[in-house]
Order: sequence, then structure tokens, then C-alpha cells
Amino acid sequence: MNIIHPRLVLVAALMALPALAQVAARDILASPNENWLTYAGDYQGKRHSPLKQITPHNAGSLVPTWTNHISGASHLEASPLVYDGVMYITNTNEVIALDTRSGRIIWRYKDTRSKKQNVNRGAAILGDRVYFVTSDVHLVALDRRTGAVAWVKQYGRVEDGLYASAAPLAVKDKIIVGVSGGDSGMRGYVTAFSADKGEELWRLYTVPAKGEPGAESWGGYIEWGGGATWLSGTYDPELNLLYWTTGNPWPDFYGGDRKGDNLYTCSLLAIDLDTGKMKWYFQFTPHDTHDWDAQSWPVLLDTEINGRMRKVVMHPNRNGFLYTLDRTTGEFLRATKMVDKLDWASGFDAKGRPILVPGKEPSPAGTYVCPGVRGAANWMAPTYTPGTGLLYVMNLEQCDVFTSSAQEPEPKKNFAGGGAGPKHNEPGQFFLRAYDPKTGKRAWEYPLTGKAASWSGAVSTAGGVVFFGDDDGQLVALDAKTGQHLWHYLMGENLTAAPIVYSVDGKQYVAICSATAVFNFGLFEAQKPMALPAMRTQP
Amino acid sequence: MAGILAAQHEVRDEKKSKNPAIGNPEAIAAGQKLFFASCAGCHGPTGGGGRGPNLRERGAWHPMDDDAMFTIVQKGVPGTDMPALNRPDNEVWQIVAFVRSLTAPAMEANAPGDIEAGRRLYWGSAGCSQCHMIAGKGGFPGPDLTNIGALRSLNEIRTSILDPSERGVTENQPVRITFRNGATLEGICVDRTNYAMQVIDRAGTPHRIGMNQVEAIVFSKKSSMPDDYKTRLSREQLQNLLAYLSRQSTRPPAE
Ligand code: HEC
Ligand code: HEC
Repeated sequence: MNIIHPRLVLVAALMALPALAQVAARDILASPNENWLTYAGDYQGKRHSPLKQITPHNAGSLVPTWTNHISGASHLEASPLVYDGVMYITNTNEVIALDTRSGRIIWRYKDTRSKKQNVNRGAAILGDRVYFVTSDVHLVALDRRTGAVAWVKQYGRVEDGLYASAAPLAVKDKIIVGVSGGDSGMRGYVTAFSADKGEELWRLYTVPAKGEPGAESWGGYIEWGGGATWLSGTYDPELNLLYWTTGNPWPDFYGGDRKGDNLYTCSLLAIDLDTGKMKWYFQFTPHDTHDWDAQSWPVLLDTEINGRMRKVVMHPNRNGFLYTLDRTTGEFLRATKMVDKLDWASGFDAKGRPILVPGKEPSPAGTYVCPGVRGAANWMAPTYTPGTGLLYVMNLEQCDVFTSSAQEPEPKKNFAGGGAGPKHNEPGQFFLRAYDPKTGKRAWEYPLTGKAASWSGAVSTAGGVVFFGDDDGQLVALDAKTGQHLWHYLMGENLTAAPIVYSVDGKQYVAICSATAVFNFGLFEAQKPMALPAMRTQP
Repeated sequence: MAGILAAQHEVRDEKKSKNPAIGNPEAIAAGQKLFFASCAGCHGPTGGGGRGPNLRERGAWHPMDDDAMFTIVQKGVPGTDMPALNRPDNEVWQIVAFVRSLTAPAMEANAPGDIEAGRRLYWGSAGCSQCHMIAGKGGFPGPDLTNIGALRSLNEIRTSILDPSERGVTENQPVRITFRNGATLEGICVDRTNYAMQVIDRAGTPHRIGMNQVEAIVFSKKSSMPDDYKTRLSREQLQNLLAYLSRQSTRPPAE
């Protein structure tokens, strides 16, 4: 074949794309390995890579192998995906495919007609497609090789107070998505689409409609009740259950118009993958008035509790507690304090309902409450290392003054019924803390300096290293067993995404998005001089 | 609170205010009449230029917004041949709407023709679908056309079909690579530096290539898009194709 007359060849060769190596559902079950195929790497939310090349002994010689500043990016929050040496990240209304060897861009798809511009937390991959959501609530399926559009499906309306930002989750033959917007009035839901055609298969609302069971836990404004689903979930293949968390009730800080528990906000929902039916729910913060969304990762692991192996889901909650639930039944097993500054609850009843300390409601004059509005944990990804048996969580020690206002709520106007913020002489502090799932207790902690502005998460490896973004714009490596510092690298801007681990050509890498760029790190290897190839252009 | 939580949710809304004449089919039709009468003599009947500049391909460095164009048309450019129009504001807006429509996305042009016949041609005898994808079906190496009606003007699509090399192959060049081990690869180069290159082969598979493995690279300037559609397609067939393609969009035109 001769490239000089390509059209003759191309037309003759019938260019229709042949079937290609597909990302099968079982490949995602086997992830992470050399690939990283879901936001959390796996379905369990462990963010644990089996790769062992990088160890506490050699982590000190990690260097950046490339950096690519993504033009137009200001708040990258994506956890990259890697399949077969190609990395996929998302930015506002766009997906970018990068060559992991060189860091160069292979293709870039931008939806220029989105009616909104929000952060985006990443993509999903299945078959020959990459999926992501636009800010104005459309699910988009792209050809993973070229970025060509297979379909675009709208699943919510900006006019209803919605937007979208979470990475979709690809499970079996379905793509699961959620919605954002809970701070200004909306009604949350989780929706499943067929991966091939984009047909909506089911939708589960997180706040009941008037008259439905659970509606009695609300007053007025139930139709704007919130319960956003702005982080993607985890999945147990044996139980065939999705674990999806829900956000705050609205208005965030004033509960006078919504007396009751406000089901199913600030909750963890166990959802049957096939039917979309709720199997059980657990509400962490009934009648929340502190904007304590339950959006942090529900981590699925098996551990011994009181001498008995249990299938549990662990949830580092914004309200300050680390919860352990039976993930088959939703039974409350335990909640332990993650932060030292915690003053709103004194304990739990047998069912896991917090026992409230009086006087901690937001008030017009301001009420001092710990933890603060951003919570002791948030969507910053935790990681679990089976080797050490430890769960690593980014914790924020901070208290805020919460105010509330009984003003008539106005949906879609950025109205939150009050507000919250720290006393100016009392900034927060981040810690990376390791917890023992057997007891829920802290094993060690690594204190961070900084302005309490980070949104970065963590990843761990079988090599015995934990990587996370700190509060000063640095990627840090710790010994997973001891918490000893091994290595750090300054990326020079506030971090809003979590690192991942993958390998290509037999070499292990760590990658992370900073606010505006993608950084790729590997063990130092001297470059060899390279002869440039002969290049010429045929007219 | 908004400040603290900015990185958590970071909301920005797009707000575009524009004169109601822009994009309005009636205003555009009225504007076209006025344009023929007062402007075409100098700027050409479809704004392609003559004594006055080309109004379709204005430099990308300083794109002119609607208000600026309104002022130029109404007041002229003193000291040049560009006269002041001095007509009622609504008529000037109609003219601006017409000039804008020349570069507006094809989907807004309401292109005439038999859409169904265009579809059959595209997927059938014209062979377009062998090289292009629409809605996940079709082939490579041509660009995805699923959203072409929103991305390009009718004029640009027409030029791409009739005169592919007119728009030039600046990116996505056809390429043949000879590796140091003797293997060869043909495809479309989507990106390259002295040290690395990304090539999508004819089956659509991306290849990540380190230049240290490469012996020689031959690029082709010539588009792999056939250049004989000018003679192969009848005027009616072209119109039908344009009617079909101009309506390819990932979102409905109303949005
Ligand atoms: C007698 C010839 C003549 C006529 C008639 C005329 N123009 Fe022009 N036009 C020009 C010339 C010459 C310029 C360039 C002026 C300069 O040097 O800045 C110009 C500039 C413009 C520009 C600015 C282009 C740019 O890129 O800066 C616009 C827009 C324009 N004309 C629109 C119109 C419209 C609409 C009409 C009819 C209402 C019209 N012109 C009638 C000669 C003409
Ligand atoms: C042999 C492959 C091939 C065939 C057949 C082909 N094209 Fe193309 N086409 C290309 C390539 C490659 C490009 C990219 C530009 C370039 O390289 O010149 C392109 C570019 C285009 C563009 C411009 C796209 C853009 O983003 O601006 C349009 C429109 C287009 N083709 C339409 C058609 C139509 C309509 C047909 C059938 C009548 C057709 N093509 C047939 C290969 C092909």
C-alpha cells in the first residue's frame, strides 16, 4: 500500500472500523492492574494498585516524566483513567485522551454548546467507548480511539436546578450517572443507561415525591429537597448492589421548613443494579443543617469485627465519624470519631442515629460547630491497602460558625438558608490518617501544613506506598505501614484531584491532575541521545 | 460559603445577550435583500469580498462582535470607501444578521434539499461513511461528522466536499512510518514532536510512537478525502448532501 495516493487505497480498502479489543466488564472487575479503569480504579473504592515496582526503598528517586498543561483548565478534578497506554481525563464539558508515553494529546472532545460550565470528575470506559457527563446534564458516549461521538443523551434539565459533574460508573452493560445542584434546590436521582444505545433503564429519586413513603419526613419544598448525587458510587458484584451517596437537604442551613429526617438525604443507598430499586438506606445525618453531604467514597471491604468476618462498607463521613455498616443489610456496626474537633453528637443509638448535643443548630447570630461545613472528610478519595489492612483518609480538623436565616427559600438562586465559615484566627488543618477497619481507630497520622484549601485524595500500592496530594500543592509518598515520608514533589498550585497508579511498557507510573495540568511520575531513568528520523513531505 | 466550596462545585453559567435579529430567519431574509442592494457591489453577493474585504473570513485575531459590526455598517469607516448606511436601526440589524448567517453554523441555515436522499447518498454511493463517522457508525480517517452542522458553516462544508485541499491539511496529515526494525505503519498523524508521535491507523487504532524507534517518516500534503466530488456529484446531489449534513448535530438546534 502506498500512502502517496491514499484515497485510492483507502476507498478500496473499505474503511469501516472493524471490531477492536474491547474493554470488557471483566476487565473492569480485574482493574486496577496495568490499567486504571474506573474513577477509584476498582469497584470497591479501594484505590489500591497491585503494582510493586515503586517501593519505600526506591520511591525517593521518583521524577516527573512529563507534564501537560491543559489549555483552558482551571479546576481539574478528574481521576484519570488508563487503558492500554492511553490516559483519559476530563475537564469542563470535555474529554482529553493522552499518550502515557509522551504526555501528548491524541484527541480532545469538547461540547461547546453546554449551557453550563462546571468542574468535572472524570470519565468511564467500557467496550470501545469513553463516557462522561456535560455540565448541563447530558451523558456523552465517545469512540475511545478517536473521540467521535456515538450519542448524547440528556437526563436532566438546568431549568430544574440541576447540573452534572460526577464520573459515570460503567457496570456490566450499564452506565450509571448522578446529578449535582443540591445547594440551590433540586431533586436528586441516580440513573442507569444502556451502555450501547444510551437508553434510560431506570431512575431512582433520592427524595420522595409528595405522597410517597418517606415524604412525611419533609415539610414544604420537598420538590426542591436536594439529595444530590454528585459523586459516583461503588459496586459489589456478588450482591449486585450499587452503593451511592446522597447530598444535603435544601435549604442547606435552615431546617425550619423541612421538619423531619428529610429522607433520603445525607445517606448511603444500596441499589439493585438490575432494577434500580433501593435495597436499603442508611442515613448518617438525619435532618442535616450543616451541609454535611454524604459524598465521600463508600469503601467496600471484608474485615473481622468482634471476631467475625464481615462484608462491610466503610464511610468516612463529612459529619466527622467513620462509619462501618454491614453492606448486605445496611446494619449499623460502628461509628468512630475521625477528628479531635467534633462537638455536635455525643454518641449513637443502636441503629446508628446520632445522639445530638443541644445548641448546635445554625442560628441567625452564628453557632460554632465542629467539624465545619467542608466536613472532616469529603469527596477526596480515601484508599485501602489489604497488605497493611489500613484505610487512609484525608481528614480536615476545622470548626466553623454556622448562620441560618428563615428567609423564604428561593430555588435556583444560590440560596442556602444561611452560611458557614471559620473564625479568621482559627484556620483548619489537614491530616492524612490511617485507620484500622477492625476497630475503626486511628493507627497513625501525617499532619500537613497549608491553608486548608486542598481537595486532593489518595492512592495506595502493593509496593507499600501511599500517594496523596497535600495542602501545599505537592504530591507526597508515604510508607503505607508507618506513615514515614518517602518523597514529595511540588506542582505549584492547589490540588483538586486524586492520583492514580498504572503501568505501561512494564514500567510503573503515578499520575495526578493539578488544577491546570496532568503530571506523570516514574522512577528515574537517564535519557539516551536520540537520532531524529528522516522526515519528508510528499506534495 | 461560596468561596470555600468553590473547588467543590465551581459553577459558572454562560450568558450571551444578542440582538433578536441574529439567527432569526425572517430578519436574515430581509437582511439579504438589503445587502444585495447596498453592499454586494463592494463585498460580493455572499460576502466573499471585492472592492471591500471578505466578510466571511475576517482575521481571527480581532473577531468583530455584533455591536461593532452594527456601528461600522451604520457609520461607515471614515476616510475609506466603506460608506455610512444611515438607515433605521432595525434594518441595520437585519443586515448584520445576514452577514452573521454567512459564517453561522450550518444547522442554523435551514439548508434546502432532500434530506432523505442526502442520507442515502452519504451512506451509499458517495462513499462518505467509509471514511467518516456519524453517531458511532462509519469509518476512519475522516473527522467525525456527528456534530458538523454545529461546528461548520454551510460554506465550509461545501468547500470541504468540493475542494478538500482548499482548506489544507494542517493537522491530521496522512503519514507512512518506517521503523528501525523494518516494520511500516500507515495512518493519520494526530500529533507529533521530535520525540514522539501519535498515529491513528486505518483501522482506527491509536499508536503511541517513540521517535527513537523510527527510521523515516513520509507525510502527505494531499488530503485523503477524494478531490473529484466536484465532478462526481450533480448540483442536486450536492444540495441533498448539504441538507443532510447541515442537520447533523449532537444537540437540537433550539438549544
Ligand atoms: C463602496 C464600497 C463599499 C460598500 C457599498 C460597502 N462597503 Fe463595507 N467596506 C468597504 C471597504 C473598502 C471596507 C474596508 C474599510 C477599512 O479600510 O477599514 C469595508 C469594511 C466593511 C466592514 C468591516 C470589515 C472588517 O473586517 O473590518 C464591514 C462589516 C462592512 N464593510 C460591511 C458592509 C455592509 C453591511 C455594507 C452594506 C450596508 C457595506 N459594507 C457596503 C467598502 C464598501
Ligand atoms: C477516503 C476517505 C474519505 C472519503 C471517502 C470522504 N472523506 Fe471527507 N474527509 C476525509 C478526511 C481525511 C478529511 C479531513 C480533512 C483532510 O484531510 O483534508 C475529510 C474532511 C471532510 C469534511 C470537513 C470536516 C471538518 O471537520 O471540517 C467534510 C464536511 C467531509 N469530509 C465530508 C465528506 C463527504 C460529504 C463525503 C462523501 C461525499 C466525504 N467526506 C468522503 C476523508 C474522506
